[in-house]
Amino acid sequence: MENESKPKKIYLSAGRRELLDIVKTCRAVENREFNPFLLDVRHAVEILRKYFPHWKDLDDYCLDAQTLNELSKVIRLQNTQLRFQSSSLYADPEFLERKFERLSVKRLAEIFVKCWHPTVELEQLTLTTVGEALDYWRNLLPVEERWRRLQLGRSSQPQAVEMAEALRLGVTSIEGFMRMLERVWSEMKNEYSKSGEVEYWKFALRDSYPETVRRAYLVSFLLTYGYARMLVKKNGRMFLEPYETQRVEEDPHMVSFPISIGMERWKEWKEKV
Amino acid sequence: MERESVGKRFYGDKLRQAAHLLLFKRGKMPGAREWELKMKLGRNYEEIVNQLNALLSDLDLEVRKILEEPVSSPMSLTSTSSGETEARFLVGLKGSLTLREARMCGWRIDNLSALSVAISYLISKQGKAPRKDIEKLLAYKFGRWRAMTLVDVFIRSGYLNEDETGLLSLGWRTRAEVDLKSLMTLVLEARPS
Repeated sequence: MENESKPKKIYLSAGRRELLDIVKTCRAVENREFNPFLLDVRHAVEILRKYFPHWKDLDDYCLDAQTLNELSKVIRLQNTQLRFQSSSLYADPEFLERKFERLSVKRLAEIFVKCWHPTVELEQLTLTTVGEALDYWRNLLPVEERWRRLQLGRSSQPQAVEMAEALRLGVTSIEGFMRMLERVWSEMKNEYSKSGEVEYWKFALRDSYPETVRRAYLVSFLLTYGYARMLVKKNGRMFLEPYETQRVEEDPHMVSFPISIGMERWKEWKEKV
Repeated sequence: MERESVGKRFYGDKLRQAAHLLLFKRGKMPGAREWELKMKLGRNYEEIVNQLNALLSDLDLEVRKILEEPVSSPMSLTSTSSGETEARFLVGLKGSLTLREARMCGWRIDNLSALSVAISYLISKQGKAPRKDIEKLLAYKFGRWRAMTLVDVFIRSGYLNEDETGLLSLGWRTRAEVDLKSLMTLVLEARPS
């Protein structure tokens, strides 16, 4: 009985976490990831009320205000949704998705052209474009000149090539591409387990330039396919971190990171070694 | 009589000028801004545009006024709003094309179909949806790579807009060219053939 009458202890850290969760959910609603009515606004306001008297820091008050602001945006979205549902344009997105799956491409195109009134836009030449075209024409060499520059001789007739020759030319390889990837991946994992870090250049650079390019090429596939990840330190040094299993992440912020593997760089490294 | 003929001649010149302004593309977007018309045609530009509209209607064309930037919600889809200063005038087809005609204009059936899917889905999501959702929807019929390319094409041509967070919304061209109510009605009514 005593326990029941005791006021429940308030943990501010738990409060901050709850508020941050609300903000996160509100943002997901704003980004159209969830239906605005999935968020229980009344419950969220109760949480705000519960913690508000206990805040002391400015940061906490700011978080409280931010949460309230985000909640107001969700309420606005709820209002918009209600108005939209009462309009003639309303259709359930899931129902539409199923409909699209059933309708043929031609049928969908036919529907579209019935309510499509394209704009008339006539392209025309301007003084600038005519000037640019004239410059291009003046600087353009005759076809014969351009072909001469390429120094293309007569092409030889197709011939049969021995397997050894094809291997030497790099046209084919004995092991498959996936097998090569696996080999480099396990090599990376071994090195990582030994030293705890794998420096990109140390891993990619090898005695011959073609081998270096080949390794860099395979590493790029390992990174893209989610077998490893790359960490770039503030000083510009790049490290590889292999995963135990493939991780397929649908990251919308995935970026491509071009790394130039020039002959000069390779030569410099070779001289140092 | 004399005054009328003077008026007609004046309008004839102005009409030609208005037609040139509206039909020939000068920048990235077709048509002319309201202030451009006002500057080139004078204060009574609206009368001239109306007269041009009457002339064009015989050719199944019409002059439309669209807002350059939607000022309120993304669902303010109607093309006209009297009294708005930032408006653009365009000439468009009054009726509609047949599928064959659309193909002759350089449109692939795939593209038209994908555009109808993207626009109707966006409307059902109140005018905004994540790009990946639309790509996923298009990928069902067109494959992943083609879906990505199609979305890029629609953004480039102004049918869709993309913001920095990857949210897609209806572009100026959709608001200018597509009768959204009819589209939704037709999609909902459609039965697989």
